[in-house]
Amino acid sequence: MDAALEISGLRKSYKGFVLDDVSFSIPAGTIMGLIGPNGAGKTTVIKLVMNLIRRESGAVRIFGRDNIAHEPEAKARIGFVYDEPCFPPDIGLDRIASAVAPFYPRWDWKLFSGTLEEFGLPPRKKFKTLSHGMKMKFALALALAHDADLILMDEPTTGLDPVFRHELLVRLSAVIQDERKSVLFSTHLTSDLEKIADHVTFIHEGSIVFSAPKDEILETYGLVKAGGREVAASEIPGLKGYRHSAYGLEALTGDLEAARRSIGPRAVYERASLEDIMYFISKGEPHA
Amino acid sequence: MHRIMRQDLIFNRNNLLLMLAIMTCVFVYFAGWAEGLSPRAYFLLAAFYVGASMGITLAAREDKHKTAALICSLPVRRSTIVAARFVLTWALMLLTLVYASLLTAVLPFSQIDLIAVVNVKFILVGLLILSAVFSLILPFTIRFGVMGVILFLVAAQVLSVLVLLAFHFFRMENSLFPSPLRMVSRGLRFLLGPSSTVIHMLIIVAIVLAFNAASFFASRALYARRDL
Repeated sequence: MDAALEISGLRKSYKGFVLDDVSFSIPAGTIMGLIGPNGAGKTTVIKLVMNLIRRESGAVRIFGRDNIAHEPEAKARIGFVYDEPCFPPDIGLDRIASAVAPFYPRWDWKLFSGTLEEFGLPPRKKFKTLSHGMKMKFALALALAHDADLILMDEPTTGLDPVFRHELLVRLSAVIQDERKSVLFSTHLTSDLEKIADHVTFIHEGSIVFSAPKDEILETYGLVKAGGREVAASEIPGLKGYRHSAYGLEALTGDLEAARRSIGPRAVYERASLEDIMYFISKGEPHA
Repeated sequence: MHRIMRQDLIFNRNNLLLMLAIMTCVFVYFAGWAEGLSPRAYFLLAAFYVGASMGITLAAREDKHKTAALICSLPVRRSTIVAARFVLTWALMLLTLVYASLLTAVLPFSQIDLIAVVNVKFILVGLLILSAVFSLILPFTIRFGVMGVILFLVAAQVLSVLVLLAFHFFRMENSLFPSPLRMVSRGLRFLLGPSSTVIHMLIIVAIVLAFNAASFFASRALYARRDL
């Protein structure tokens, strides 16, 4: 399958933060969730893809083309939804769209008007009068109106009510029914991704922890729970992180079957959610 | 490039109209009530004012509303964005300067007979002042936003005061050190003086072009390196 987006060896450093050797790819026709705690580097990755910040090394290819050497062609195929939509505040939505539309050869006014109507956004309303949720809806309407092949969304569901979050997820699932289209969706709300993502990339402290199909991750990762001192964390194969609580040891393993074989009935085993995985890897005590 | 210019006009329409209203008030005041203001001074003052205000209007608004991320996420190169902004700002400056000149002819109470001093050399000198102000301010605005303009103006004033103090206290006018300043001073006197030969005008045109080329390439390089 062709990749909609390929990132390899990406590096960007700021004072006190380094995004280092980030590599992953998004197959066409899939939704990839980019997860990680706040400050992990999700927005930095998306900005590097959009060439909003300069990369120090590495490569970004959008539908096989370098995102800097072929910037206009690559960006024409991207619909970008910012974490904080940055449109001029004192201008009507229809005027913003009229300024943006000429940049996209596949812009569809009928689709745009229909999406605004569906989202309950009056075209003449000024951007500054919109609530946060409505701003996100407008940004999404713009991204969808030019028939983008790759939709990049940076924390689109943060601050949205559950009803619109659900609507958004349904809408994104509909987008990828067209198998040419792909979505990269960064969030720290992992429950959203469990509903729709095909692939998940987890980034922590500027490095990729894993990038794999969601089902494979949920199959292989698991929680090992043992009471008292019956099981030492160091015994657990594929240990990713653990914590001790009043009930005993709770640990995340990256190889649930190996842990089950090794520790046997001394512990109980559960499938880990993406939230568990994110918690233990970013906050749990590291394995020895 | 035209799409960026069109977008800038749509996004900044209200602000540009407000600027025009403010400039109209300023020009009307100078034309009707500023005593002792010669037509030359009016024209050069207008050129300076237009260059300073129009030069920062578009970039400052982008800085205020953080719309640079939107513009740079569109399918266009940053160098095209800078080129479009350069061309659009020049077009707006020229239109505003023509407007300022026409006001003196149209206003019944105008004390300035600008028509009497309209000649090629004087217009070129006006463009030179416009270029000098705009060309210096633009790279600062593009790199540092409104704060860059403020820093630039403060730094220019501090530098001027220091030069004046140095001249006053150390009698530097007689030393070898200020010879570059004397050269600049002589150059300005030559450019603004009565001579208007073809060579004289070609020199002014060359300086205008040099100012703009340097400013454009510096702005382009700065914008390309800007992280948003």
